[in-house]
Amino acid sequence: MLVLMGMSPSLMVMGQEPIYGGIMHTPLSADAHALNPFSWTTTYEAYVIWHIYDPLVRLDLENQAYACIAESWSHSTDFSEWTFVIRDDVYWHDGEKLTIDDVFYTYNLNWNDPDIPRRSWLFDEITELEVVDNTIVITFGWGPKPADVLYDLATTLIVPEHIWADIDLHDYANDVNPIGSGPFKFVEWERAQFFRLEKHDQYQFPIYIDGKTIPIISEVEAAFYALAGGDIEVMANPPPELESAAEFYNASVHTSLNDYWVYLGMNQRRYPNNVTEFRQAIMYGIDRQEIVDVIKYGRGAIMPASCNLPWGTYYNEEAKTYDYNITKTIEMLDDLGWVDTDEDDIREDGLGNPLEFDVIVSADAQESVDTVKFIKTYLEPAGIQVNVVPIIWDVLWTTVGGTGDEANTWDYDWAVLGWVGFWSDFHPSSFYWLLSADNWWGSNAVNIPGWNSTVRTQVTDLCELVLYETDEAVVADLIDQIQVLVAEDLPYLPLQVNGGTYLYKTDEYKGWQLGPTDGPDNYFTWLSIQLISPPESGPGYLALGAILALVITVGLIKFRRRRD
Amino acid sequence: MTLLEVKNLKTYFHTKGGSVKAVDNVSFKLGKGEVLGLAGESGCGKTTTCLSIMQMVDFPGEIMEGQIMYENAFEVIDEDRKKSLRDRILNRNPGNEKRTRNLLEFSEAEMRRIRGNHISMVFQGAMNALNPVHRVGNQILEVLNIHEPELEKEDAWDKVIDILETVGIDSARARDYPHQLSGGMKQRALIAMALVNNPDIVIADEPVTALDVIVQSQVLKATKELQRKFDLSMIMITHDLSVIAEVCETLAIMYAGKLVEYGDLRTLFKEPFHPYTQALINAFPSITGPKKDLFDIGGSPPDLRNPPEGCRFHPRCPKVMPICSKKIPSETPIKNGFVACWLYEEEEK
Amino acid sequence: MGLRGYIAKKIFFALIAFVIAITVVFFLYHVIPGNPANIFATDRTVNPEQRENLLERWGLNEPLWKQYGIFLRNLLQGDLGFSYLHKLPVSEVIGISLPWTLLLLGTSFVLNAVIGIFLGAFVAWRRGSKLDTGFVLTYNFYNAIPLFFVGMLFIALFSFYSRKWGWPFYFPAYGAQTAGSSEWGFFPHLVDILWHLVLPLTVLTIAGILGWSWFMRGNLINILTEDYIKTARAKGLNENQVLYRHAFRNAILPVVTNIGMSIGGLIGGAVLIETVFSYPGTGRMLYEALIRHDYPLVQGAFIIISGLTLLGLLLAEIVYGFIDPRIRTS
Repeated sequence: MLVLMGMSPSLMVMGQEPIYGGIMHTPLSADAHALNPFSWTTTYEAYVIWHIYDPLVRLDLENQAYACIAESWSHSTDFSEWTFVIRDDVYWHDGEKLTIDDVFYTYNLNWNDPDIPRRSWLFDEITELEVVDNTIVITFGWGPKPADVLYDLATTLIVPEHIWADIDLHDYANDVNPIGSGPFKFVEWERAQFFRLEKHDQYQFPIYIDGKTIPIISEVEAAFYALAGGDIEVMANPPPELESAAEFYNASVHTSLNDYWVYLGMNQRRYPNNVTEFRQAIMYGIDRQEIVDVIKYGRGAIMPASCNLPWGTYYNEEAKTYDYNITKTIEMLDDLGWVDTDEDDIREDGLGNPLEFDVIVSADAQESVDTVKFIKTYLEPAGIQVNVVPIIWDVLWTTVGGTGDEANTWDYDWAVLGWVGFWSDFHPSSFYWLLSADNWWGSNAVNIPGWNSTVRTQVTDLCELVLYETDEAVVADLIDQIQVLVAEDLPYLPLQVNGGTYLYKTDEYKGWQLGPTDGPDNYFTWLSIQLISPPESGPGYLALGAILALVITVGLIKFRRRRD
Repeated sequence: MTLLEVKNLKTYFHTKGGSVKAVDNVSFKLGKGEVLGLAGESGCGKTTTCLSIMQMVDFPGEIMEGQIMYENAFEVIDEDRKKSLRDRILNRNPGNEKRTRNLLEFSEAEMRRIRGNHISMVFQGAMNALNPVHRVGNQILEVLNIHEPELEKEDAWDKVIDILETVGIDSARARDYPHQLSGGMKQRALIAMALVNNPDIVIADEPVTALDVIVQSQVLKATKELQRKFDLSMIMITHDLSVIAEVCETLAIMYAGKLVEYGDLRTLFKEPFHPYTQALINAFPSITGPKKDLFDIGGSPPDLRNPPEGCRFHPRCPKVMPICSKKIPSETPIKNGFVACWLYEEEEK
Repeated sequence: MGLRGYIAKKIFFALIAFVIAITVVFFLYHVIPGNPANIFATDRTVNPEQRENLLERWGLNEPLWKQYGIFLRNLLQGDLGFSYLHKLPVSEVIGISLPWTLLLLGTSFVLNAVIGIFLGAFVAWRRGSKLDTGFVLTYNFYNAIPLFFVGMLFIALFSFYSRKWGWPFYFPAYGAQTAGSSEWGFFPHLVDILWHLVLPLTVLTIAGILGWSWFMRGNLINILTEDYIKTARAKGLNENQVLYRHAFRNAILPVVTNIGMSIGGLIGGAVLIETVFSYPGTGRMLYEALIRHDYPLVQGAFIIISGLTLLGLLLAEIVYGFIDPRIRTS
C-alpha cells in the first residue's frame, strides 16, 4: 500500500499582498567557479545553481519538504519503494517542456556514476530505477527513512536531457549558459564581477521580483556602503559595528541560525582527555553564552551538548545541558583527585602530569582563535593551563586526521573545529554520519579520535537502528536516547551554532515573511522577499560627466587665455 | 693690472649649531696673467672662497658681505640695466664705460653669463666632475652652445677639437664617455672645458689631487703652458704646496676662514713670516733644498661655528703671545704682500 | 663588448633565471603542506574514495619528478595547465582577469611613473622649501595609513555620503562595471567602466605617485650633490638646464630598473585594492587560487609573473644600455 505525502509550498499564502516587479541586488562575497549542478564546491556556487536548477522536492522556510518538480510522492509501507509524480507544467528555460525522461536521465546518471561529487549516498542503495507514465519509481534494497529520501535524494537537481545527453560529465562543461527549470533564468556571468538572473516566466510558482543581480562584493564594509547608498538591497552578515546603525540607513536586520556549529575536540587517544569526568568538568567550565554574545556579537546560540541543533522535531530537551558553572568544574577535578601538588597553580592529572593543553585552531579564523583565548581565561581559575596554537587550516586538518592519512599520529591535545551540513533537526540519519564508529566521518580516524568507551558502542548500535528503522515514533525515541548518551559522554564538546544576519532596505523591501521558527536560512529565501517599490535606477555619472566636462572646458578656456 | 679683487668677503654657512664662518673677511687681488695659489688645510675655506666668486655657494651657505670687483664685468650686464648704468657712468666719467663692477650686485642671469664665459672653474677630474652619461666632446661643446649661441655647429665642434688637442687629448676621444678616459685625460678634458670659451680667469679647485705623481706633473706642466699661451689669470686651490711651487707666482695662505699671509711665492717659500706658513712649509719635504726634519703642526683646525678669540691660529701657534688670544691681528704689509700676525705688529702695539 | 653582445648576454641570463624560477615555483608549491582534495574535505557528501578518484584525475597521485616532467612538457607546448578551481584552462582564467588588471594597474602605473618622476624631480629641486616639506609630510602620512583603509574611506565618502549629502556626483562602491551595462552600447558602456575605475585608480595612483616621486626625489637629491652638477653650473647653465640635461638623466637610471621590475608585479596585482573595491583583477584571482590550493593556476600565474618580471628587467637592462654609456661601452 502506498502512502500519499505530497504537499504544496506553504510560504506563498502567508503575509501581506505582495507587490511585484523590480530587480533585486544582493551580493555574494566571492565568485563561483563553475555552475555545475553535479560538482559545485562552494556555497557561492550553490547559491547561484539553486536559483537556476530545481530538484523534485525543495525545502520551505521551515525546512519542510514541498513538491517542486514533483507534484506528489508516495512510498511503500516498508519505505523500500518510492514513487514521485512529475508536474505537467514545468518548462526548461529554453522553452522545452520538462518530462519524466529528464528526471530519469538525471537519476540514472547519478546512479551509474559513483564519481559524481555532488551525489547523494542513497544512490548507492538503489536497486532499481524505472519510469511509469509520468512517475519515477525508485527501489531501494532496504527502507530508508522519508527524511533521508526527501532531503538527500529528492533534492538532487534535475538537468535537461536534451542538453546534457551529449556532454561528458567529467569535462565539467555547461557552465557557460546553464539551462535549468528553476525560478530564475541565467542571463549573464562576468567572472569575479556579477551574475544576472531573470525571472523564469513559465515557473510553476509565483515569483515576486523580475530578476536578480548578484554582484561579487569582496569586502563586507564596501557592501554595507553599497546597501546604505542604495546600490544593493539585501546583504548577508553585515559588519557588526555597522549593523547597529542599520536603521539610520533605512535598513532592517534579520537574523537566523545556520547549520554550522563549532566544537572543542579533545583528542581522546591521549590521557587524560579520555576520562569522561574530565571532559564534563571542562564543559562546565566554559561560558558558552559569553562566547556567543561577545565573540559572535550575539549572532548564534549555544550548541547543545547532545550535538543536536536546538530546534526541530528530534531535539531532546532532557539531555544534559552543562550550564556554565566553574565551581562545578573545580569540584569535579577535586573529586578526581587531580589537585595542584607542586604549587604552580596548575593541577596534576592522575599520572602526575600538569593539566596543560595546547589548543590548535585555524589561524585564518579569528573568531575561533578568540574562542580559544576565552577558554584559556575560563579554565585558568580551575587550575588548567590552556595554550593557544593558531596554525594554518591544512596543517590543522591533517593533524586531526581529516585527510585520512594512515601515517597520522594525532599529535595534538585539543582542537577547535566546526561541522556544517548536519541538518539534525529534521534529518535523523545525520547522527549516523556524526557518531557511528562504522562511518568514516564518525570513526576513530577523524574528529573524535580515541572515543572508545562502551557508550560509543551503544551509540553506534543506536545509529544503525535509526538508519533502518521506519517507525517514526521509534526513530524519535532512539534519537532521544542517543542525545542523552552523547550529552553524558561528550565525544564532542559543542560550543555554539553560528548565526546569520541579513540587512535589507526597508524603504524598498518589506523583507522576508518568515515562518514561526527561527530556523536556518535556506536557498529558497529569495522567493519570499517582497518589493515595496521598484528600486530607483540611473547612476550619478551623468551629473558627474557634466561637471567634469564643465571643469575641463573652463580649465581649457583659462589656459588658453593665459597663453595669449 | 688688477683683473679681480676680492674685498672683505664673508661667507657663512647657517647650520643648526650656529653660523659657520667659512670665509671671514678675506681680501686679495688677482692681476692679469697672474697665477695665485690658495693653500691651506682642508676645510679652511679655500673652495668656499672660490665658489663665492662664482656665486655657487650651496644652501645653507650665504655670502654675507664683501665685494668681488671684476674688471670686464660690464658687458654681461643686462641690456636695460646696462643702458641706465652707462648713462650714469658716462655722465659722471665720460669715456670710461668699461668699468670694474661688483659681481655680488649681479643678478643670477648676469652671473650665468660670467660663469664659463669670463670666469671658469676646473674641478677634480678624477672624481665625478664629468657627467658620466654625456660624451666628453658634447660636454665641452655645451659651454659654447650657451655662451656663443650664434656659432655654427661645425665651427663650435672644431673649436672643441682644437681645445682638446691643445690640452693634449687626441681628437678621436671627443666622442668618448668620461669612464673611457684615464684620470689624467679627464682632468685635461675639464681644463679644456674651462678654456674653450677663452675666459679671463680660471679657478682650479684641487685639479690634480687624485692623480698619481707622474700624471700630476704632466697635467701641471700642460696647465702652465696653457696659462702662458693664453695669458690666463688663475687661482689654484690646493693643499699641496708642491703644486703651488710648480705653477704659481703669488701665494695666499688661508687658515680657518682667514688669509694669514699673502705674497710673492719665492719670498714666501724662502722666508715665511707667519708661524702657520712656516709650519706648512716645514711640513712639506723639499727634494732640492737642504735636508731637514719634517715638522708636524700639533692640534686640529678650530670649529668655525665658534672660532677662537683673537688670532685663530693661536691655540696651535708655537710662538703664541698673550695678545694673540685677545685681538685679531691686522694685515701687516711685508715684501709684496701682507701677513696677519702679532709678531710683526709689535711696533704698532 | 658592444651593445649587441651585452643584450645577448642579458637574454641568456634571463633564460637561465626563468628556468630556475619555474622549477622553484613548481617544487616549492608542491612541498608546502596542503592538498587540493581539501576543497571537498569538509563535505560529508564527498567520501574518501571519490577524493582518491579526483586526485587521480588531476594527476596529483603521481610521483613529484613525474609531475615535474609533465609540467615541463606541457609548458613547452604553451599549456599552462588546467585550473581545477575554475574548471578552465589556466591561460583562459588569467585571460579573464588580466584585461581588468591591465586597465586598473596599467593606467595607474603609467600615471604613477610619469607624474611621480616629474613631481619627484620638482620637489627634489626645491629641497627644503615649503612644497618639499609638504610633500614629505604627505608621503609619510599617506604611507602610515593602510591602503585598504584609504580605500574604505573613499568608498564611504564618495559612494555613500556623497549621495546622502546630495553632492551632484558619486562613484560606485564595487565592481568594474554595472551589471548589464554591456548592453547599453559602446560609449555608455565605456563611460560606465571609466566611472567604476575612478575610485580604485585614485587610491592606487595617489599612493603610486607618492612612492615613485619619493624614490625619484631621493635619487635626484643624491645626484645633485655630485661634482658634475657643479661643473654644469660653473659652465653657466641655468637651473633648468642643469636639472634636465645633467641631473635628470642620471637620476632616472635606477627608476628604469624599478619600472622594469614592476612590470611583472602588475600581474600580481593590487590584492588589497582589488578586494576593497571588488575589482575583478588578477590579484584577487591569484589570492584565491593560493588559499584554495589551485596548483595549476598559481603555477601558471607565477610563471607568467616571473616571465614578465624577467622580461621587464631585461627590457630595463637594454634601455639602461642605451641611456647609460658605462654599461654599453665597457
